Amino acid sequence: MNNETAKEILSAYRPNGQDATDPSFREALEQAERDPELRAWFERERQRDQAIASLIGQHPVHGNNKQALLAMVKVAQPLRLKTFPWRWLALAACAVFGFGLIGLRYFNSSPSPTVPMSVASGLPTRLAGWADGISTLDHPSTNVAEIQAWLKNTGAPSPVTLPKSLADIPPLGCERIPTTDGVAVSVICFMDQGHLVHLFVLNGAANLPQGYPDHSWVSAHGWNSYVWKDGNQVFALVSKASPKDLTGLVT
Amino acid sequence: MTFDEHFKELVDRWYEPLCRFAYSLSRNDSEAKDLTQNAFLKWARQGRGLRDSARAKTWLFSVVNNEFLDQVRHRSRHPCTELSEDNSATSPSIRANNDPVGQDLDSKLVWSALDRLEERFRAPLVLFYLQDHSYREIAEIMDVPIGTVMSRLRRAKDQLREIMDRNSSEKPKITPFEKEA
Repeated sequence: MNNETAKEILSAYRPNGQDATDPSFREALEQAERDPELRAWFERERQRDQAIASLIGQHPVHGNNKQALLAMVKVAQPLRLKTFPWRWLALAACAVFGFGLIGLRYFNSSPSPTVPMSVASGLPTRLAGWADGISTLDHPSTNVAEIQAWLKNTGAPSPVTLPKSLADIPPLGCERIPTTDGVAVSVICFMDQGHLVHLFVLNGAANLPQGYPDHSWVSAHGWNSYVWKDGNQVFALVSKASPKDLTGLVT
Repeated sequence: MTFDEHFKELVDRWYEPLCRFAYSLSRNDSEAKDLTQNAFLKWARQGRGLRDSARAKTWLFSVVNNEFLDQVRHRSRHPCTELSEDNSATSPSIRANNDPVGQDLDSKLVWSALDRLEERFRAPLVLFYLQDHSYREIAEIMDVPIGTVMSRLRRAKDQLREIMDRNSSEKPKITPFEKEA
């Protein structure tokens, strides 16, 4: 091995010595022991590498997102249900529903971008089902304005206004909820005092059944929800936190 | 170990190094955080099978590298102008603890030299300097042969040295006025 080859090999030798036991460096290291010129070069190189490595390793990581990241994946835990064979079963079911919908649309061309009766009447169960089914977020972000813009750009319901108390809690991200009845639903997820809090947004409050209350508490399958109307939008704050804890977020 | 514990361990161990690597590629704090976050979320979706921590590490760094390259390709097809963060103004300059090579090494000098490095040299060199990866792992992350990594590291270091020498010679030297007798 000539010195040039040895230099090329030793260029990959980490200055912290982690490669000391790697046999592929042995010959080059032995040559550096024997050859004074190569040894001097290697010492200079290691010292320089150490200095640069320490500068890069000290580069500050601003605004650490670890907690948000861990929370986001907690949100995604129900995703386990989507692993094989459930994924294929779900796809098959979606296909059946999809064909059904296409058929329905073919015979009934009236658009359904609003909240139909079926959703409104079964709202507590639907909310619990949506909350249970939230998978890894479509758009992880800790910026509410950015989430609102993203939802708007993708044609999903985007909240025009948010409760003030929610504005103080950094969100985790958002997801568009797939529904089989054409209702556009989106959700923004927050983490508040160790509890996941989902804010569902549905367009079309005007189409809620006559007499549907402007504000209501509903509960189903362990999820507590506070539902309210604001303009033409329906909001639902859904969490496993107690109604008392949720109250603080909507006042 | 449960999935949650394994995930937390990975995040605790690799969040900062991944962020630094992503930053070295994008030179933008927000983009670096997004790339890092997406890599972990992708692991949560697809990489759960990688229980071996060493493989998970290589996988995460590969994802960051590939996603960055995808972004670069996308931007070259759809150019747009963004308000860039001036990171150089906010990043504090850190000085090397010991500077045995006699060069005035500080973090700004190093990062600006890395910026000017050829793209194909920058990623393997930063991975090398993060010191968490052997050259074999760097080859796996970059998806290139081992020999290519070795020669790229050598050439990258030579190129970095040249750029830093040039940059430091361009810096105006401050010399005190001599006192008049």
